[in-house]
Amino acid sequence: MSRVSKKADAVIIGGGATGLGLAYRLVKKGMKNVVVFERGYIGSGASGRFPGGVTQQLSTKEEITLARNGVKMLERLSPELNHNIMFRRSGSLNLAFNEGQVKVLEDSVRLQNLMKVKSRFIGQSEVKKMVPMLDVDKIIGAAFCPTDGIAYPMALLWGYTQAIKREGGKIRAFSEVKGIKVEGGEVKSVATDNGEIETCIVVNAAGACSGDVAKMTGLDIPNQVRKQEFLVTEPLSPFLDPFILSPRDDLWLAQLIRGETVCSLPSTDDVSLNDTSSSIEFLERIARFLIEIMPQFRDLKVMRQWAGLYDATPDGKPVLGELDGVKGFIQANGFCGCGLGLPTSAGELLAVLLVDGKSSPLFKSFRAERFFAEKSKDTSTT
Amino acid sequence: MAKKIVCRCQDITEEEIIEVISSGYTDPESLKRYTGVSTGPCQGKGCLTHVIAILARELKKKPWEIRIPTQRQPTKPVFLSVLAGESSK
Repeated sequence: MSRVSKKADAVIIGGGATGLGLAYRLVKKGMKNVVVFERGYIGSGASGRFPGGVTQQLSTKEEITLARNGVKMLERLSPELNHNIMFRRSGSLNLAFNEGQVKVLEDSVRLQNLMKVKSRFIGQSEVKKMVPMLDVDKIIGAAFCPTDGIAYPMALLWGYTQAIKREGGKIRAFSEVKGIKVEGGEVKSVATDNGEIETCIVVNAAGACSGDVAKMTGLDIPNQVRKQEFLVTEPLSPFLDPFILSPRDDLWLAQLIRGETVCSLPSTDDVSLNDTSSSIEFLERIARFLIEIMPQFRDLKVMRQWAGLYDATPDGKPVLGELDGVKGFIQANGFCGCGLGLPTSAGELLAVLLVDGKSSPLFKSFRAERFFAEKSKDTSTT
Repeated sequence: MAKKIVCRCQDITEEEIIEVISSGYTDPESLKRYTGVSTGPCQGKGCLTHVIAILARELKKKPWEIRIPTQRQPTKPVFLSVLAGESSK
């Protein structure tokens, strides 16, 4: 295997939608000597395991803005990368089963509309018209966002990979980062299983491993590992246009362009890193939920199941930007399983920060320091 | 020459697999996701041995040096009604 070059303008840890998306934006802006390290194959973390939903049905202004910009970028990416990322503007439905859920969804819709996302609340009959297979007896309405969509995440990553290489960036798959050297409060170099590489910028885009990567510099970020389980059914002809979230059960499902239906739930397992095993308990639980909302699903077969790990923060928002205490150590993690939109536009914001030195006002609410500030406040009051 | 179908579920030929390998998708996990081989109802039982043989030949390795993609449950497709505990089919 070729040795890595000894110096880089930036080293990115994590070959998923976040890391490769940022690397692509960096090389496009002229920072050519960028190296991405990925421990496994490209997309072996959350990016390749999640089905590629892109939702703007979020509940804070900052996240809605990131997601809205992300959707616009994803819509343009196939021609831009010269690679079909299979983005489809499917729309999305968030189901409501009682008045309490209606109120929560209506509040979110109001905020999304304020941020220029054209979501709306629709009643039972319109839900039925949109997805005839849904049993709407218990569903009293849904929040619908027509501009949400689904992409094939692996195709997105391959498109990024080719574009990054065309522009002169480097991608090291099956190559692990072992340590980050910090001297005088500044990033100096990164140790990999393929040699050491000097750099003054290290980006932590390691998803579920972000906490471990931060520890390499001696710092802590509050990201927690979460596990999600998935199944895919045998393919059917098109029957489901929007992807569906049922917040009551945390159930998510979508029909993909090959006709298969992907369905998922958060795992009830204890989370330990690298444990991506799947459970029969998940299949039994999700089978009941699915048949409840779509009774015809009882005659559908499950082909395959798997699980994926991602990282989540205490307030549900990502961690972005430079961490106080280590100059050049940039966070791009904590995306909380909110879909492909957030990492896509976060990559652009970070590229503008790293190449042009311009910081977006959005960063303020995504800095990791927001957690530390709270913590010290807590201790001072107790 | 007649087409050699490797993956019958997804209708993928040997020629297509060789083309994808030569584009750089040489690890079995990426090859699976790029072509779709072994993701249909047979879940690889009908095609994976052929894919491994082709990979070994193209990469000039022994078949046992190629790591097969992670095998997923269930071993054959199962009705959701069975999983939900309704009458067996």
